Amino acid sequence: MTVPHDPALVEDSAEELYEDAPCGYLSCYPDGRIARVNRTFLAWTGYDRGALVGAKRFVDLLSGGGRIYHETHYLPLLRMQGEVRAIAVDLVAADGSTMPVLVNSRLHRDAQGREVAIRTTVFDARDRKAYETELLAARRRADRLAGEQRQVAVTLQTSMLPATLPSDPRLQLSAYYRPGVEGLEVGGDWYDAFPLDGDRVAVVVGDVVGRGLAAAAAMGQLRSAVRALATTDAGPAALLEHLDRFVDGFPAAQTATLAYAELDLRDGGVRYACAGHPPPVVIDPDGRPTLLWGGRSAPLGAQILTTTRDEATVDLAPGSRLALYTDGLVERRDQPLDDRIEGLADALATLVRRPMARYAEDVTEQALADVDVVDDDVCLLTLAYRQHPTFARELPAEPRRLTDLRRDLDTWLHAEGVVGADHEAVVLACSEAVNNAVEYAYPAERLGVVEVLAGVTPDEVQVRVRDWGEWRTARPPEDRGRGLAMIRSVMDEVSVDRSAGTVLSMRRTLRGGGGSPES
Amino acid sequence: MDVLRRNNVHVQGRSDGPTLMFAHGFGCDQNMWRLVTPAFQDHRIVLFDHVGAGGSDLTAWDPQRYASLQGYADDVVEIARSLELSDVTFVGHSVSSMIGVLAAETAPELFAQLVLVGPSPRYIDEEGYVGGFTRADIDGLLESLDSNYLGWSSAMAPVIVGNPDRPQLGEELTNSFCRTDPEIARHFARVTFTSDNRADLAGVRIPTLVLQCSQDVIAPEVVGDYVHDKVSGSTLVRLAATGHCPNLSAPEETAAAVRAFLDRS
Repeated sequence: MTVPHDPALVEDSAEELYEDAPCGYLSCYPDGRIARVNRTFLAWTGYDRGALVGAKRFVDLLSGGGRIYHETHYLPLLRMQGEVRAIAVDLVAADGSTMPVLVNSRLHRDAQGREVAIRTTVFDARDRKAYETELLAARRRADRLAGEQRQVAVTLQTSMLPATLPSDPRLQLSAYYRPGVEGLEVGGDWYDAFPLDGDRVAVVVGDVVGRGLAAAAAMGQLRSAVRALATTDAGPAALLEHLDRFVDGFPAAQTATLAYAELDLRDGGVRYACAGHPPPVVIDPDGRPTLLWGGRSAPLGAQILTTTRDEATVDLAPGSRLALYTDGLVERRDQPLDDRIEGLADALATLVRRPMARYAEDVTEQALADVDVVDDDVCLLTLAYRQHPTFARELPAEPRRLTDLRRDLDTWLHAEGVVGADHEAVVLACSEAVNNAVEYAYPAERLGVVEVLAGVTPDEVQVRVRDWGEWRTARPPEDRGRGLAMIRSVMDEVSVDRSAGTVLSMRRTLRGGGGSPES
Repeated sequence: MDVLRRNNVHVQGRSDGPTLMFAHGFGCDQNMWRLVTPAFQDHRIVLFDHVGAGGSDLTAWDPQRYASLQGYADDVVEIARSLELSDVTFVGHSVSSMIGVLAAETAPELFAQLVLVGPSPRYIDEEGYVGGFTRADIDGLLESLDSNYLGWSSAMAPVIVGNPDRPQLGEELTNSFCRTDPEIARHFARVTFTSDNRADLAGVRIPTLVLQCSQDVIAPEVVGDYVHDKVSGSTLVRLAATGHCPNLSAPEETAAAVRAFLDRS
């Protein structure tokens, strides 16, 4: 069988094939000067043959950006690998218009390896460029959307972390949280701390499996559930059992891990439980770390064989610190988990004299000092237990007792070195708070008791005023509102808990020196 | 931070020889010197990749640190210190010429001589100064860096060296040389082509060789003359080599010029 052929094709001379090929042909000397060029190229660029051959170099026909690209990428690659393919540049035509092209070049050498010529083909890339421009626009849109989604998840996640931590003279908390930097999606780590009643606080750190919006939402649900269940006073093990049932119908929260602890501020007793979570660390007053390996059980929703959860207890001596954290702080692919946990315990112990305000952040920094890229969320919650406030008074709710209290507080603050504006602020705030309790908390016919606890650290004073009275009106009387406003004007943080009586907690960072209380 | 790993530092030649430190320019990596270094095996040769290029540690790249050429110069100083180098002859190509000028200014105790190959302290023309490019040229380049998906974006590697239908080829080749993260390349181009280091030239106090190619579209002869004029006591050598990369197109001539300078001083 013979191949049918068109005589016109066969009669095409090599010359015609070259000159009128559907691509531009260029032959250049090794220094880039054009030696030969075909008709197609001339037609595209609008140059006469004489204007190019022997007169211009290929690089002279490129746009400014293309010239730089030619020198910094095209030529080095051509010389190193002998050819380059599909380089995208813009040709500048005789009339100044530009045309996007794709360039392939091959460097020819003689038998001695000397460069002889650069042969180049040039393809029209106008359509491809238009197409790729669309691709680029589409990718930019997708990037922007992904960025927005990440922003939403970050906002959601951060908004669910507590804005303030419980304040009490017997306790100081410090937390540090950092979303993972690698990958676009946030993780599901969280921490929380809240009062259970006037003398107990709960602390929790957890980690939801997965990333992104779903993880952030699941984290929010779990956090709320923990808060709600904790106030039923069931204790850590029962709380985890309730959570198991909670996540049963909630796949995104299943296999979440968490460490939960309740601290009794009166005696330092801690009840805790860990569901598939790394062990909390206690640093005793002498700076010795202990890992809390008790109270362990499986992650949430993974209790297949047993239906009861374990919990354990530990006693914190005054001056101890307790740390809860997520695995982002200790998990590395290249090191055993135990080593990393020991490393964290070391960091917690080494930095135990740091002020609490920076403790969590400094410890995180040290624990991760040898890690280049932290791709997981990192979360650390630390608690310093002091037990004995240096000032404690319980007084009958009678106006005349206020004078005694002021005098005692005055003496104590002086002894602690709290002077000037700080001193005035604390006395004023404390008097207002006690005055409110005396005047409004108890019915005239029933004498109540007001408790004042105060503590001072190198950087702040904390005061807690508590009564066990009942509010007679839904809205505080005008005067009491004013009293609270005055307290807020001189203290940095004020919180009121009315779940059982009233606990008014307040805190002022020490400014030192003189000045007015508001400064 | 392991500086030597960060900058993919390689040391060759005689460990007791005088030190030659070679620095590559924008667009490629230490492979740019591979045809030149064989001529200096009687020296201790230090080669490295700028962060973002070649085999450098991309995670070390930081837009703040590398917001100006000083960040790259600080890297050069750190490399020299961690190798405990002294009396270094720094050979910088293209933008690395100015990086060398800044490094010598930052740590004068480390550097004995500078060789500037195709230097330009300022690429953009200004009143009374010819850099070779107009503001519009550079804006056009930067614009194309930002918007030309075809040539400069993440598709750049396969576009340069390979066939998009055969990505493994692109990958293989970009792994061998001239590998650049597109984001970082964009940033480096911006820093390189918009910087102005003319004022730093007067601060050069050590013997300096300026190597000027003919028909260099990136660093034209008038710019080489300017550098020679502003660096007091510098030597200007015009190479017959054409283009911007004599280290590739004319390695023997380049090596001979450097050798003559080393022998003289």
